[in-house]
Amino acid sequence: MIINYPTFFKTRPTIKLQDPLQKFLGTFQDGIIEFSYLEIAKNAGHSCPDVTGAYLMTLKALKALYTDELPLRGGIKVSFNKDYTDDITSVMADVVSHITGATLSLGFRGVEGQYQRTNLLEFNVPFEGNIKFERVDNGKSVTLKYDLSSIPIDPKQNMLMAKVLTGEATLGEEIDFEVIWQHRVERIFNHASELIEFVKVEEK
Amino acid sequence: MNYPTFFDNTPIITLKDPLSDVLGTFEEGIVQFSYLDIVKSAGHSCPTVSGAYLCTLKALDALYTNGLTPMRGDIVVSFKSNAKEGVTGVIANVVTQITGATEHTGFKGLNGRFARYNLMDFNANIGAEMSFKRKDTGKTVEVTYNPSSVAGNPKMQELMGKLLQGAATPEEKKEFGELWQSRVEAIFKHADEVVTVKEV
Repeated sequence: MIINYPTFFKTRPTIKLQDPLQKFLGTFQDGIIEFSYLEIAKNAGHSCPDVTGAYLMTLKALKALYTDELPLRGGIKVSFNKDYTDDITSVMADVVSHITGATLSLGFRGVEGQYQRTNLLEFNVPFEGNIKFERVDNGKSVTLKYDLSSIPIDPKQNMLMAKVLTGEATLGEEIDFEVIWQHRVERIFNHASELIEFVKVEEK
Repeated sequence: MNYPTFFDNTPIITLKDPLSDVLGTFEEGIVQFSYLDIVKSAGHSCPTVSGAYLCTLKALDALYTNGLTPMRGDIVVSFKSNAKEGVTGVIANVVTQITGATEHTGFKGLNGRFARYNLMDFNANIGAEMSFKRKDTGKTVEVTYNPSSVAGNPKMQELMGKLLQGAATPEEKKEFGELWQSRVEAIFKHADEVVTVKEV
């Protein structure tokens, strides 16, 4: 339970996957799991353009890689062109890891070579775009680019943020800032198809 | 999603996440995690995942007393072993999801506040498997998990072998899943015996 959160969270598409490890260990009978933006924001500790971008890129990539099938959790390798020391990459990596199960070195190490979750996340891979998703089973991959420059930042946002962070904001200004911040996130969701594009689609 | 019914009877962990409050995500920054939330991310429910959940729950209870709400992002978690050793990585992922603490990834902070990285370390020189420390007060607890007193059904080993070789019937697959989850349920019931928390 969460006390209260922006209502637009509720109407965003969820991401459904199949997780064979769940089925194997009797956790979810059919092995099907579903993630919502609310859950991802809860894990990330906030909702922002980076969290949203990572969520939307994952959604789009999985649709392209699996068309009518359910994406296979733990069967997807994810690469970033920057290091995890980069602010945005760092936040996005956690979001993608949460959804796809892919991890760098943490996570499940497998049972007799099956169901492994480690070594599925990679950083500093040179390519154009933000994130590359690759199916381990057939090698098909998509690389996506996220550009939110067409979604303007409210001119008051930065001023209000500075006040909030220095503790000088009034209660009214704090609320203004929160509303402005989440409104931009909502607009990003509404314009997702214009902001995210495939840079490369490869079949092997 | 169809999951074992005991999941709904396990305790919920409530925290305050000041970053989510500032960015207008969750009112008052209050967030709650259930065992179901954790299992979905971990990809499975097992004695390690439930142990990590219970260790975090009990560590937070010991660190934040008198009705205080644990502060997400203000807790440093250390592990005695290497991240790549045995089940440490699985435990670490569970603890990250609940406390927000990460080693490298996650939010990098705003003006030096709300950072989530550098809050987790491995190969630490501590007296137990793991320790939880409040950044604000320095209060630290060491936590040990030992589920050996909760025995698993002896049939599990044999069934697991069959499953992994692809030789199990659908009934055996189902039976294995049920036996596996009933041990997890028993671990939750014996939480006070399997988890030890000591203030240091």
